[in-house]
Formats: sequence, C-alpha cells, structure tokens
Amino acid sequence: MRILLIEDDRETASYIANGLAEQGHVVDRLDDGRDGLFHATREDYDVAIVDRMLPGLDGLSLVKALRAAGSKVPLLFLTAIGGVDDRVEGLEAGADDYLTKPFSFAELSARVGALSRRPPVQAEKTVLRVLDLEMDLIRRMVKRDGQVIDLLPKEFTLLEVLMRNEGRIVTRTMLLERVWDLHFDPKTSVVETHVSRLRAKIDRPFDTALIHTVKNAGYSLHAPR
Amino acid sequence: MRRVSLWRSTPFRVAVAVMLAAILTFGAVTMIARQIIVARVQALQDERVQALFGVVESQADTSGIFGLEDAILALLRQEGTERAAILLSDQSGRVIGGNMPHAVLPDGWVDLPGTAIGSRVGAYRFFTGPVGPLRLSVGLSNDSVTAVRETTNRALAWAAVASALIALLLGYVVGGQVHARQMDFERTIAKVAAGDLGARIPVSSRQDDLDLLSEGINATLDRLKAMVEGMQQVTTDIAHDLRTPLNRLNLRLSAALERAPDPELEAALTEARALNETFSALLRIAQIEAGARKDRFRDLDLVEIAGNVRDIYQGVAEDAGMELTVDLPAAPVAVRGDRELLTQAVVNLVENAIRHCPTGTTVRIGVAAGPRPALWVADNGPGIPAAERQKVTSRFYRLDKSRTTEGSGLGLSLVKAVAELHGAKVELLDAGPGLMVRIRFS
Repeated sequence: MRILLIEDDRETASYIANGLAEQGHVVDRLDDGRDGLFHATREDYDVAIVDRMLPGLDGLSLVKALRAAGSKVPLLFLTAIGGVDDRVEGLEAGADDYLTKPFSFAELSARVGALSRRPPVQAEKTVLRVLDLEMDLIRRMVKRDGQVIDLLPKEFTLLEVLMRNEGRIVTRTMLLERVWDLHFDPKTSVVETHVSRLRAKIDRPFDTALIHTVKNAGYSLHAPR
Repeated sequence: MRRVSLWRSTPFRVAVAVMLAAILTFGAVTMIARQIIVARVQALQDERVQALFGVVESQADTSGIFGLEDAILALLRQEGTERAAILLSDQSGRVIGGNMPHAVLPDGWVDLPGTAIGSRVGAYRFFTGPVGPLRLSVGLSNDSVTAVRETTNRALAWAAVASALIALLLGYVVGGQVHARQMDFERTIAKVAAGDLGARIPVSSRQDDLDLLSEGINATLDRLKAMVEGMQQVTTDIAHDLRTPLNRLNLRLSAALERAPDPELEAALTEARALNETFSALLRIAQIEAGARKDRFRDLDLVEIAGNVRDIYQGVAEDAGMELTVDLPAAPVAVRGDRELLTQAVVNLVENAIRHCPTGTTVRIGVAAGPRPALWVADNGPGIPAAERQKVTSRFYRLDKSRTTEGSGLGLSLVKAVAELHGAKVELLDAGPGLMVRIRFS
C-alpha cells in the first residue's frame, strides 16, 4: 500500500515508517502540515496518517481542507492530546479513525489495515463468508457447515467486525469501539470474555478454528494458513 | 435557572411601592385639604347665618318687636325665600313670623333636612336664639357646602383611581426596563454556567450603577475565562510533553520485545502501559471537571445505558463467579447528558464491584424513575465502612484491604466527576449488606 505519513516528531515518524515498510508498504514521510496537504492532494495514497499537532498547518485544518478539496483518502488521526472532545472533532472534520498516543505499533498497523480499501470500490455485500462460516447480514443469521448458530446481538456484531476484517488484525480497542461503543479501556477482560464465548459457539463444535489470538495485538479471523 | 416574571420582580415591586406611598401621601394630604376647605366653606356659611341673625336682632333693639316682621321680610326678599328659612316664634312655640311652618328648634346650631321644615329640598343649617321675649331661628340652605363636599370627594376619588393606574403603568414601564437589564444579567450568567465562557453582559453608554456592576462582572468573567483556558492549555501542554516520551517508551519497548522476548522487558512494557492508563484517566477526569463535554449533551435513556452495561459485563461477572442482574423500571427514564461518560461511570462501578467482591456476590445495576432519577450499582459484598465512604471518592484513595488489587483507584473519582458534570450527586450507601453507589440526578 502507498501510505502518506505526516508526523513532526522524528522518532515516532521513523518508528512508524520503518514498521510499515517492514510490512511491505511504501511510506512517504512529511513533517509539515502545508507540505502534507500539498502532497495529499497531488498524489494518490491508500491511507493517510496525520498527526494533529503539526507545524505549518495543524492537523485538524489539514483534514478539513483535504476533504473540502474532494479527497476521499482513508485518514487516521494521531494525537497526544487524547481529549474527550478531540476524537469527535477529528471525526467530524473528516478523519476516518483516531488513535491516541501512546499506542502500540500493532494497534496502528491493525487500524491502517482496516482503513485500506482493497479492492477500491466494494459493493455492499449481503453475505460474508470465511471457509464454511456464513453470515447473512440481511436476515441476521449465522451458519457454519450448514448448521444455524444462535448468537446474541452483540455476539453477532463482534463476529461481523471480525469477518469484515478477515485476515487482518483487529485490536481490543477497535472491538471495544465498534461493538460496544466504549471509548475507554476497561480494566477487566471484557473483550476476552466475549471472544471466548463466541469461540465456544462458532469454533469449538467444529474441526477448524477460525478466530485466532494474535499475541500483544488482538484477534484475527481467517482460515488456517 | 428559575425565571421570575416581571410582576414579581424587585424593580416592579419597588416602583409600585413607591407609587403607592406617593398616592397615600397625596391622598392623606388631599383629605386634609378637603377637610379644611369644607370646614372653611361651612364656617363662611355659618358666619352668614350669624350675620343675618344679628341683623334681625339689632332691628329688634331699634324698632321693637313689630319692626321685626319687616326686618324678616326684608331679609327674606334679600336672600330669597328658597334659600333662607326664618322662624319667629313666641315662648310657647306659636309662629309669629318668617316663612317656615311650625317647628321647634333647639338653641344654637342645628342641621335639618328640608322636608322637616316644609316641603323643601336639600339641607338647612339653623341658628336659633332668643330675641327679646321671642325665639328666632335663622337658617340658610347648606346646599353649597354640600356641593363643595361632594365635588371634592368625587375629585379625590377620581384622582386616586387615576394615580393608581398611573402608578401601575409607570411601575410596569420602569420596572420593565430595569427587569430587562436584569434579564441580561441572568441570561449571560446562565450561558456561562452552561459552559459558554465568552458570554458577557451588554453595557450601555449610560454608565449608571447597573453598568458599573455589569463591567465588574464582565471583568470577573474575563478572568475566569483566562484561568480556564490557561488550565486547558496547561493540560494540553502536559499531555503533549508527557505523552510523546511515553509513546516513544512504548514503541521502543515493543520493538525490543519483538526482536528478542525478555520477561524483564515485558514487565517494563506492562508498567509503561499502566503509567499511560493512569495518566489518561487523570487527564480525562480533569477534562470532565472542566466541563469539556457539556455542550454535547443529548437526551438519553438511563434504562438503555444500564441494560447495555449489563449485556457487556454479564459474561465477565459470570467468569468471576458472580451474578450480574438489573433492576429497571418498565418505561424509559430520560435525562440529558453524555452517553459515553455515563456508560463509563457505570462500567467503573461494575468493575469495582467485580474486582472487590468475593465469588458468589450478586451485583445489581438499577435505575430509579421519578423527579430525581437515579442510576445505581449495588452489591452484597463486604461494603465500605461508614467512616471511609467520604474519602473514597478522592483521587487515588484505596481502602487498606484493596491496596494489593489492580487498578489505580481513579475509578470512583471519575464517577464523581461525571456526576458533577451532569449536575448529579454521588451517594455511597449501605446496601445492608454490601455497598450501593448511586448517581442521583436533580
């Protein structure tokens, strides 16, 4: 993927850029807001990562300007402020996702992965399929190997998020946000509990496990590799 | 904020009170004046009667009894028989002269209705006295005096009514103007209380006492705004200055761990994460206390929030060997607030209960409807001793026995900050046995 990184803290920028490069992405690094805006509008990127506090032009204004110019590039906002208001402000300005420093690289990588849209235009699917697991989004029904599996509403949403991000890492934080609309880190193992219950329903009665735990990162749903 | 109508406002009442006092004074003074006028007019009338009496009396001296008749006739011609009533009678009361039918009048002054002395209208005032061996009564119609009295009465009544109406009108106008300026105060202060620190009281060019007060309050608000913004700036600076190195620390430790797993490094990374969490929680509490989210308040249903938390945590509770139930009313309970913050508050309380209670405990999430709705979490565990309940909400406070368990002790202080932002109170109660933490909205 072609990734645009606009971050003025050199160490953080190096770390992110190197990490992403190791994963096989092509990363363009900039450390000034105005330069960043210029590049973002001129070139085509799969994902843009923008820090909120930038010299030249601050991140929030950059995003607004970018959207106003018609760019639809998926955009991840980075910030050190992490204020209760900031996330909503960032999303309202046009960012697609938001990450507060400090973050683990795994978290960043997972979110970047989730943001990328490959293939570029995806028709709205009504059925998600991984191996013999089938989810009918219209009828809200899940089947594996032909058997209907009874899921509670939140379990359904949890499975849906995992299936939509098939093969990619979904972090605990991402699940907390997308399944339960919780934007803080609970102390107890909420996600673990729900994932293990989901596993009990869709993995344990069958031969192949589809839900995998990725150490220190999160979870990933895919056929065994 | 409560709004007071114009009719009950101080400027209106003061204006009306002043007006009424003025009216009463005016009324009292005018009544005195009226008394004086009427008395004087009466006195003049009486002098006249007395003078007429004197004329007849002196005639008796000069021309004797027989001249009296002529004198009386002359008098009657002069005054008019309608206006004047004269009676000359002897000791036994037999009428000798005058234009009155027989009547017996006492000596001195007396008022009689016209009907008592022949078919006359109005009232008459008589003076009766001896003239030689005879008795003379001289009277004049008192109508003029009566007329004066009635006219002044009527004039006073009209004046009183008019003054009262003018007083109310002026009270309304004057009171209204002052009230309008008071409303400026109320409106601005309400805006500031709701979070708009830029609101200011408008100042007129008159530079009167209210303007001076406005300027004073505006200056105070300027200071308040500067202080809050300064605090927010400090928070932002701290956040940036602390978070960037924290971030780098996390990244470096993660990178090192990826190259070569090491239990020491893992422990270090765990500590770094805990540091980050504590810092985030502190920052969040500070921001909530500064009222950061008030303008994003929406209409919410407490029952829905409670149910949501229960769905999320039921599994966690079961895994910990506890039961999580709900105690909810059938109908939605509406409040205005921030869904995320209230959810987080309930989550904190539930997590506290799960963490601090032994297996077998039942934790309940509840909502109480009513004029002061409440959101509560109760358990039947060990509870908190009464003495410590007050201190528990201060930052970092841990009960002695829970010092070894996880968590930074910020959970309850966040709940308190969220409650205060919503204008609600946090109450810690004995659930007999166990602890109930209740967020009561006003």
